[in-house]
Amino acid sequence: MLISYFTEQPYSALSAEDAWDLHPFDHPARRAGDNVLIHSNRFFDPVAASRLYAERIREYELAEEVGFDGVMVNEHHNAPFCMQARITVMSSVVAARTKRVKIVQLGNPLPTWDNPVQLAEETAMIDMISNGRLIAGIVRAGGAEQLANNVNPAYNRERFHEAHDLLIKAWTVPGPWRWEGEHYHQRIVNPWAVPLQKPHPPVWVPGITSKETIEFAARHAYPFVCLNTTMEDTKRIWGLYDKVAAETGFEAGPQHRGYLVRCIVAETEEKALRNAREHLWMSGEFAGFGRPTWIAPTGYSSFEARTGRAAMDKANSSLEGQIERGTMVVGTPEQVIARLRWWLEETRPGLLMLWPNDGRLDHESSLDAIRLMGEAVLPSVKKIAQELGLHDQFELASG
Amino acid sequence: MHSFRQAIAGTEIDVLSDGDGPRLTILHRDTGRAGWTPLHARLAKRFHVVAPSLPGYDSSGRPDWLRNVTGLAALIGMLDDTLGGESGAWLGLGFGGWAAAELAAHSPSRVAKLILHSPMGIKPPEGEIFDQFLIEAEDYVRLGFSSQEAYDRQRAEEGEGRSARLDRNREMTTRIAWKPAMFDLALPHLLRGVSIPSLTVWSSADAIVPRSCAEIYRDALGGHYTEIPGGHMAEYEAPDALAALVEEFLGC
Repeated sequence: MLISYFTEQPYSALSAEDAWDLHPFDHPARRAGDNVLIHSNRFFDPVAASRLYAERIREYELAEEVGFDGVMVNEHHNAPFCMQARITVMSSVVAARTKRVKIVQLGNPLPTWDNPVQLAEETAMIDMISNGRLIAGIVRAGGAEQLANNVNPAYNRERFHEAHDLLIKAWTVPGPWRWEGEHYHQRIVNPWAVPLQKPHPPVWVPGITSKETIEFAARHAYPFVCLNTTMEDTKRIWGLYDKVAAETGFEAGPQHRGYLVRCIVAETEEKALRNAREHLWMSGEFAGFGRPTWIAPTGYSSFEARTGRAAMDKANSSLEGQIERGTMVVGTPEQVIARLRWWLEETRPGLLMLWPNDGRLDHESSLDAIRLMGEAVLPSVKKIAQELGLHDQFELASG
Repeated sequence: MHSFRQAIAGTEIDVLSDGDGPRLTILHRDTGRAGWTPLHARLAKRFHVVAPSLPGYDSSGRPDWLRNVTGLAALIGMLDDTLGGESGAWLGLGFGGWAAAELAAHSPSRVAKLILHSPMGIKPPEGEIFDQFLIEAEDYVRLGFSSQEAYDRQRAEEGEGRSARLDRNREMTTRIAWKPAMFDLALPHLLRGVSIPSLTVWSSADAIVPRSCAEIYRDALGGHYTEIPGGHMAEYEAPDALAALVEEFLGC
């Protein structure tokens, strides 16, 4: 099993008052509680952010030191809950500051790139600089990302597919050649930067419940990473993935199954619950990824899918509800291990992303949580995974 | 009132028409054509009113290949050809005003007279065309009304199916007018070469299209300009005032 460490890298210097209140300088469309996309960046202090970046990077180093196999990075825009405005930048930093861990990009927001060949170049550079440690995840990117980057949401899926095809070709087919597609037009594709891993870095696809995205991943045999989905949804996703895999001609296994879970561990249950509340404030109830029309703008997916998604987000947001459903795993190491065992037994993933630190949790507490995970959680989870035969693609490849 | 569908370049276009007299084609806003509005009803007393649902809007087919308003206007021009007779007058409302102006710029022979109400399609030198994509579709409709009462009445009259219809219409607007947002940089330049009698009308409480857009149209077309009270949705809030201006301008 490959276990990665994840944090959204929140801009935790933001005060709750600034986040919730209305302000005289607000965008005319902003309502109280809108904390992404149009929430003014005058609340962003680069001095505080510089300190936070240094702390997050130190946390990544520690994650490697205590035994995590990967560091998961991502990208969001106009978002206080995530300071990673460019995934390839943070991936480059992780490549330079670590020696062993996989750099797990979940993922590169393909449709937001107007020139995917540049992405092919940047990821190839990261793969070489990290000595072949890149996992190049790809995503459609959420609705707010389309608005923040002014990318037409009605063509999001078309751009995702075409950018994917262009990216794979740029990685694998020697140039120069020309690309004239529907959304991308490149006179000459001939990047003098190609990946170290052959034929190309592993591609993973994270997602929630989008049927088309799950089918896409399965058709390409790309591992699909469920982003903190419920047990019921996760099982449904694997059912669909396995079915499409069989139709495509391969048998899916744990190596194709990833799961990201909020996992908040502390010496005492009380402290873990306090940290969990903080975690949720920033990444759940607080950010909530914005209003429905930003989460999934018109055209981003079908009317039915979008209206269903908005209802689901609202229903799943409370801390108590999430702990009960297991989408937040909270407690002492023993409690957390027991809950993770339940996830592993029930859904059989070979790829696990643990998300312990978020919200305004201070640096020392974050480091403590990482240390505690390394000492008291990871060895047991690895043992359970071994016992259940949950192997990742790298273990299988090395026999 | 007659209702029919006409295939144009592989796309089925849904058309309502009524009345006798000179032809007047009305192009709806980006929220679509909810039905036969009070404005249509009054104008149909003096004109042969033709009111298509633009391609991709309401129950008209969606040409997936269409990427801009120029192409949309071309399809509407082709629809006009199928109706026969001489070129008629066009009344474009908001987004429909943009489409009518594109038609006038690219096929001036199809447009005898042009009336634009709070037209989009030009980058305003002052203010902004409100970015509908930042708010819910229903909230955008509400913004088009200056009167809560008028909004409530229109919403109640439409009834079921409204959310899906608004969503479909917004998706088509997204497909063809996302960037630049609701304007065409070439249009004001092209309009300077158009010599069609024109009237531009702006609603003084319009929260969606700023006055400066209408003023640029007036200047580019060298036509008449006037203002009426109410919000963007003049066909519901000020149908008589707008109809009276149309009738006067068209000499009826």
